[in-house]
Amino acid sequence: MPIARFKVVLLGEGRVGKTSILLRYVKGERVPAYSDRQVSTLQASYLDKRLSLRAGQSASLSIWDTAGQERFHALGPIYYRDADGALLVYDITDFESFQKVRKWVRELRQIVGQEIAITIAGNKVDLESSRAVPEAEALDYAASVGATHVYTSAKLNKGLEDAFAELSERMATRRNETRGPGAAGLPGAKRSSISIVDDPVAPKKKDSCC
Amino acid sequence: LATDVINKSKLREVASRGLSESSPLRPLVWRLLLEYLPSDRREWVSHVRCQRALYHQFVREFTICESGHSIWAQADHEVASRASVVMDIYQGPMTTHQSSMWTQKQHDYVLRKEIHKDIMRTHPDHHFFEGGTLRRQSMERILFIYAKLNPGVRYVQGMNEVLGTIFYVLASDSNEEWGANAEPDAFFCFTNIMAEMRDVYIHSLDNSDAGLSGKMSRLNALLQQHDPELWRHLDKNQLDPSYYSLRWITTLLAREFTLIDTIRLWDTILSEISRVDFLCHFCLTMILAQRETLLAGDFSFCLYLLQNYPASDPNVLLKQTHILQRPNANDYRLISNTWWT
Repeated sequence: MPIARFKVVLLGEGRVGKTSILLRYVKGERVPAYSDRQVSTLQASYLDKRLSLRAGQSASLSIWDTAGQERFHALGPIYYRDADGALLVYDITDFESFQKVRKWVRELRQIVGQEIAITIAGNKVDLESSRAVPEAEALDYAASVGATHVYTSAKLNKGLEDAFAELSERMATRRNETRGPGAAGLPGAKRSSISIVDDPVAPKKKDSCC
Repeated sequence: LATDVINKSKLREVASRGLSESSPLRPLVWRLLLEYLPSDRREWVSHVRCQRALYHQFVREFTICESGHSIWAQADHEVASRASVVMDIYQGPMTTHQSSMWTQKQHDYVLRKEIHKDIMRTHPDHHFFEGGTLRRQSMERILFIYAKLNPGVRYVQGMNEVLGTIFYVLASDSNEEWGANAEPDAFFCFTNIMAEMRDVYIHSLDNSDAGLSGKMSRLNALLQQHDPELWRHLDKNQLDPSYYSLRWITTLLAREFTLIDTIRLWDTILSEISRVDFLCHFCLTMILAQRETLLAGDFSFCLYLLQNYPASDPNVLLKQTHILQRPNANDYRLISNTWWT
């Protein structure tokens, strides 16, 4: 079975832990010493990660880490435009960082649309005692925008594997849905998508159907 | 330096070759290169007195609250809770004055928090910054005051790195009196370097020649001109120059090398008449120095290499840059034959 490739982008306010999440998830315990003071990310960077999906298929994630500060948002679209999924990160001890997540959801829905799979991650759960974002509010919000909500701690390496695995499953499902029966090769599927291919005004062969 | 009137072009020439690693003269030389100190030594005493007094006036004006305390004297959560108390009190209709006062306070708080987060992670593993609470407070104050005085630029990530290099050099002065005044002096040196650099920090200028994209395009054009083969390779692999050169340009390379090497590099950059142009050529040298490795790599390999630049001798790269800047240097082979094989 061919490897499914997905692009994932990490977004969120400055210092919520995006870079730490990426390094921890991709490099795991090989990160020599977790640093509470990860230097700030000024330009996007990226790492690859392989994982297995439930259906036995292999997936390869290209995960883009982005700069958090507003100033660099103008560069955002080049990273998320063609993304299959987004991990929107906030810091559970910082309410404003959660407000920023709402902004990102609006922007993604506006520019990328409904296709992008979104996970909202409340990071730094190791600092639970200083929580500033009410749990119910975060969960309700995520549900209201069709996103999955997870808790993570890059410091303790908690919740990261699960978060990316679940996000990958959704990205795979969505891709199969949008590629439709042609790609999956299932007989008797919805005719409507086939009729689009047959449509005389769109004679161009679609790559995704091969 | 011993003469009454210092010859700046001579000074530039000497400093450009690099001062020794722990030269006691560097803090003074940088103050001169950054136009903080006038060429005439006899004016120094009165000049620095005036400037430092001016800085302390800014500190009083922007960072002391009504109660007479420094806004840094309160812990973060206190400020936050106090802010919400103020909110509660003013639930009723606010006068225009009250409302603008409140908005101001809120903005200052957000700004201060933003700066604080980044100062805490400026050279986080370096002993000078790691243990120095007072030093970090000084740097936060400098950036805060700069942002207040330049609302069109405000604070942008990356400025912390630029200031970090300057502050480290000035605060490490072996002369106690000068070292003790590192904060006001670094503020003016930082302001002067920003006068030249700030366009890359201003969002609305991004797409102009002066702004960030303009600088990155300039580097891209230089690469295309000097090494078309490598340029095609990176272009084919969709390695947009903004992926690696944004940080190089906004921080004046303060994040790519060790602090010691960055300082050596800055001896030269600060001595240049056209710093930004030199910077672009230096970035070009960095790319060319890795040409063979890059040509053999794919997108992710090249991106990783350029974002995590291999440890290199700044002196060698600087020499190559000077060769590249010569008018007839339009071929990478000229450099490769001279400096590396």
